[in-house]
Amino acid sequence: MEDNEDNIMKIIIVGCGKVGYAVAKALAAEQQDVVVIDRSAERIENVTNTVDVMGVVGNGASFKVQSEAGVQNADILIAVTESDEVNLLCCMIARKTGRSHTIARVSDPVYMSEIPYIKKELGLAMTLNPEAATAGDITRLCKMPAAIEIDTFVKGHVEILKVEIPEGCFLHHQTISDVMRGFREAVLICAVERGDEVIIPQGDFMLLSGDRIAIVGNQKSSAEFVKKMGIPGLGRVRSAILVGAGKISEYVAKAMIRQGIHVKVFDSDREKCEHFSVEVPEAVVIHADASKPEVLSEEGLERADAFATLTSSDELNVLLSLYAKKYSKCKVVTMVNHSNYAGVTKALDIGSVMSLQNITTEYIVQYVRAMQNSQGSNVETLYRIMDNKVDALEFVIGENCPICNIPLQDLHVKQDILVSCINHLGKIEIANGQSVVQEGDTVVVVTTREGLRDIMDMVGK
Amino acid sequence: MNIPVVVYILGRVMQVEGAFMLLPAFVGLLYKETAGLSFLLVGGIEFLAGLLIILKKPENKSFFAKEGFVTVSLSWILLAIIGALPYVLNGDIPHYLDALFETVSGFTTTGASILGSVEALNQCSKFWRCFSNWIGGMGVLVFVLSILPLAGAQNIYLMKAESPGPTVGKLVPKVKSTAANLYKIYCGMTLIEVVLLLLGGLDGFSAITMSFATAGTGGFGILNSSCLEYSPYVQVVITIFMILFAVNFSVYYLLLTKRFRQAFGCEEMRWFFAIIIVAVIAITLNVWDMFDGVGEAVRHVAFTVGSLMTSTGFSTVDYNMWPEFSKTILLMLMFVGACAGSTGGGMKVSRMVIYLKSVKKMIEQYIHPRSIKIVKFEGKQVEHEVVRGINMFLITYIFLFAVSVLLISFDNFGFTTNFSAVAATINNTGPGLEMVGPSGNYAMFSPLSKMVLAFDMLAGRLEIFPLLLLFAPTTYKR
Repeated sequence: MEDNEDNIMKIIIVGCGKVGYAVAKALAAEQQDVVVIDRSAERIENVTNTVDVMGVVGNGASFKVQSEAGVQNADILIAVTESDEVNLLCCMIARKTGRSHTIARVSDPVYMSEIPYIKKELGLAMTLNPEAATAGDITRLCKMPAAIEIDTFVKGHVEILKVEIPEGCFLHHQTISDVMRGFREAVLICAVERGDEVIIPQGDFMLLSGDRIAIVGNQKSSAEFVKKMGIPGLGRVRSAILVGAGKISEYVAKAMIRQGIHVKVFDSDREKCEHFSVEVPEAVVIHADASKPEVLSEEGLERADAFATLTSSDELNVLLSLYAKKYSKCKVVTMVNHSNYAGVTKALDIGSVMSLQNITTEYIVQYVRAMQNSQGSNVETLYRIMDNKVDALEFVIGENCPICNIPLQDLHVKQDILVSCINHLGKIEIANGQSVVQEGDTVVVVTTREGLRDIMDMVGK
Repeated sequence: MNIPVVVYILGRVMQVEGAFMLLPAFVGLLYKETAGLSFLLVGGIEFLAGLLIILKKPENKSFFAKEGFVTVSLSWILLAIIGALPYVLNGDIPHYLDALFETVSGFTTTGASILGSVEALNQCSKFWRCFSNWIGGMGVLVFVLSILPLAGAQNIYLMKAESPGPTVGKLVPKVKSTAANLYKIYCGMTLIEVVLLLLGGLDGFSAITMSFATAGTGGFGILNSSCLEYSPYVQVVITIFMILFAVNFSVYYLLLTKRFRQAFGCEEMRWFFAIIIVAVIAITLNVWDMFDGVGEAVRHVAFTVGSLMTSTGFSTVDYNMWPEFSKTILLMLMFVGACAGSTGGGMKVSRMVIYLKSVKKMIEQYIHPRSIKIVKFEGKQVEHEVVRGINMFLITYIFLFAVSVLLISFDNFGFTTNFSAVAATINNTGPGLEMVGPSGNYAMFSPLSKMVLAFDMLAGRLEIFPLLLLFAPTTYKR
């Protein structure tokens, strides 16, 4: 831990709401030096008590407060308050006073088309739109309703699907090598979640029904595999119900409508409904309290193919999703923003669980790691899957790398580490024992271990 | 409560104290004293015992405020209990209770002694006394935090429980680096003092031990006459360093990182210096005719004011001979104490300033009942919770004070002696007035009184609540 002391990033986070807290926690876990700024002393007290970061109480857009947090020497400033404008102002001031890279959360759909302009003019390193990113994930899930979670890799060429093995599936009581032998398409089961535990399986690992498995493959082969698993009752989505007419719903609705899905949106706030119908005229906007069961049945919950609860209240979302699961066979997506409840929500039958923070932290951790790259570690990109319990790291194989041209089965890869796929100059190969890595390839390594910084860290005892 | 984690950290603390005891053992070797063996023995056994304890790593690493408080209190009690053993073994302090009092006084940087003659001690015991001042000054757990990787982010609770002051902040984002930085500054400043004292003609042993006792604002000297026999130069150096070590250490960190404006803008430090200057002027005016010339008067008054306000407790003159007005000021200074986040004791300047500001606010609110007024300190709003916390501190402090005075009154000494004895121990100062003044000591108190005073010293160093928590039954309920 000590030997990369100089490689530690000094990071300032402005805004310590749910997103800011999650980001601070993730970056502190990466051993970075984190300073959090928030107006609320209570929030700062909370974050400094539970995460190893320093707190500054004040307005993050103030020059004085930023200097107190050490903006002059900071490497990165991340502004993730609720307000886009404050975030942009924070970044602008940080740009002018220090040399830090700046990342702003900008999530109002109004700014969507102007992002490139804003980025260029304000010199931002990155803008984050957690709402749009979450909406993208939700839309992708609706295309493949059997999956609980979908991530894409290697510039979208590879997908990781998380699915649950249903009762009576042919995978039950089979070892992974048996499954692979019986299936022709190139897919790989790279992680198994059983209860609270996440396992990187070996070939002799026995699958059971109820396990949630992560499958790596290209779109076609993994779709084939999932179809064969026979998860009941989930076909193509043609109509969807969204609860809550906020920003996420707006992004989701727009994307779904583009795909020809019929969208109904519920909200109990008249103004929000009106705004929504202006922005997304194709959607059916219903001004009603969705927490009343008769309202949902009246508008056809039983006939909908997908149901997403996207209000700002976690409790309402969970409750509505439980209700929908009980009275309908549709694909259910639930927004739960309190990341501390991840352990509880997993036990509930509420379909796919989404959270703004997970996506945001993933992007930011990716960015920070990439920045550290130039200073040592050769992780190209990082993805976090399975509720952030598994890291998927992309490495570039350099010249004279000792593992070149040796079949993977002959390398002594450590436990809890798995090479999932190899990118030979644009040709993706799903890894198996005979696969060989060559110079110039990129490989995606899946692991539950932390602190993997070099491809050579994965071999040995 | 998560007992395995608490035990694990106690094991670490034992290792650290065991290792620290090798230094007096080494001193014993240098002076060819057999007494040094007692330190080697106790330290060695303690280190091994600590090693055995930490072999079993706790599975559940959850660690919160409660565990933080309990760990810190238990650590300090354990330190004193074990730290007292060598004195008894080598015969320097034959009674264990006395040795315990002396050790508590050392670690809490009080400097109250039961010894009639310090000079009669072995060199290694003298060294251990002063060294315990130094260890206790910055805190043992802060030291443990700075060198060992512990449970996680919640370490902040350990630091909060051990570091003095109404609010405890970090210098840098990580607890570990904050603790390491504090110790770097602490060691650096101690070293500078050692060098300056050597330049003043002190021998190596005196320079090092006196620096230790000054750095921790402890006040254990190595001569019976405390600092009377040292040259004026040495006295001035000690005066300056007593005061420097009582300043909030974040000021030094700001200076080191070249943030001068912020450093010199520290409100608490300004109040601290202002109080010292006013006190020195007032007392000098009162006592100048007792000295040969104003220069000498200022030197002795500044030394005494610095010594008592920073809770060090060295002396160059017997201020018991001074007029009542001066003695009263000195007694008041003991209560004010040093800055938060320093090695000094007392109630802390920041608390006093916030009390004054709250009173001002209250008065204004009586005049304009609907006005909204906020207490500001260091340019920032003081949260209501913090104000409430320090108010509760004052109330608890007064209660503890009253009960202590009551308990030691059984010994039937004068009120000034009793009152100042409690004041000097609860504020970690050391010498009080009359019988416990600079020329007296605490040997005449009964065993009960000694225990009460030892408790007060610990309570004062840990700012009361961690220690009281130890006696609250709810702490141990599931």
